[in-house]
Amino acid sequence: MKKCFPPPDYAFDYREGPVSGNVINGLGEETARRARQIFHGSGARRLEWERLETFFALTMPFRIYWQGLVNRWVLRNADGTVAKTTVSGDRTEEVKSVARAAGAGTVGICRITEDALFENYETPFRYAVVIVMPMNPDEMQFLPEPRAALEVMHVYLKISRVAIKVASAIRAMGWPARAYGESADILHIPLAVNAGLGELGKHGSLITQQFGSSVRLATVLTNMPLTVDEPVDICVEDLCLGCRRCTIDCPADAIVDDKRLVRGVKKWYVDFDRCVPYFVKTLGCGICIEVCPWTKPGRGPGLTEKLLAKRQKKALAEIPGVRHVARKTKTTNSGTD
Amino acid sequence: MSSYEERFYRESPDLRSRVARNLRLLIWLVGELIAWFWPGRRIRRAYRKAEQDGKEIYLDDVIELDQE
Repeated sequence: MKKCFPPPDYAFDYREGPVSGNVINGLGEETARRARQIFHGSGARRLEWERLETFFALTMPFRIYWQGLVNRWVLRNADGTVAKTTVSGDRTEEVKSVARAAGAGTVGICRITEDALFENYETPFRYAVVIVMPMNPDEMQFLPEPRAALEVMHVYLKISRVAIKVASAIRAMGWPARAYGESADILHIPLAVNAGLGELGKHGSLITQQFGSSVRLATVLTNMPLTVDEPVDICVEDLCLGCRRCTIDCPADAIVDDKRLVRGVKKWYVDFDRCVPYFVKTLGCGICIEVCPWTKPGRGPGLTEKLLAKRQKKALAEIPGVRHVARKTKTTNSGTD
Repeated sequence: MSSYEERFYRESPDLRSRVARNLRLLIWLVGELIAWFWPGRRIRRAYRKAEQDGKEIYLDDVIELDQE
């Protein structure tokens, strides 16, 4: 049954509205280019939707706002001094172990790609260690109320600490490394997909097999040579193509059923101009990630297994010879019986 | 205009520049804290009133952006 969420009517507006977020995002653009920041900026440039973001921050209950400030203070340790002695050999497992011991849900590694960098931003690093941290489902069930928003900020703070520990461990091995938390200069989701931590879902967020979409991400960029992970196929596409749960439940009607062309790539896309005002009104929304079938604790692996079996069955049925043999076998069996 | 990363998260090896960086960050955070109380309080009141009255507040009127 569809849950009852606040309606998408707003007691705030612009006299002179900003440029559409969909235009800035490159919706319908055929040429590939890097993303531009619109909202949740890192403070690097004046953002088109900055007024709404300021409004979002200043209308937060104090305890949530405070968590954000503490996070900024903690992240001052994102970078640091690199040890003079460089350790050699593949330390990938050691780096991952540091992350897990510090509280990460899962960790993956990939090379840094263009799609993870905003326009006009360059990085001296080559590798990304992407950290996933699940949110507490008992708290997230209160969404879209402030209690869930507080849990989100708690997880951002916790994941920043994990990323700082990982970056610090890498620097202690003699390699430069920098931690990136929320509102960073990089895009975490494309890196997480490349690092084999999950796939992009219809709702525009990462879907992991273990925790679904109810996760937060942080990244450590480094030059330490690491063994990269391969992107995974957990059958997200198979489900998203037929599932309409987030599309139906999104009160702002921001999620669409088909993929869109965005900066030269056809992918799942969320209507920014519809999503963000509702996100602001509800202190961070997140309805789509909580209603997603993958988010139900413990459901992911079974879901992949089922969808994979379905995919294989469909693939077999599409091979004419195989279909013929299967039918023939059935006939023979029934004949024998 | 520089990002948080450029302003606060890149660390120079010497202690003096780290202390200076921490101080800069602290001052910035205090500024953000003050902003929540003022003009934040005024904005939250206006927003609550608009919600109760079924009206709208205009972001252009209530939020001034810093000049670059």
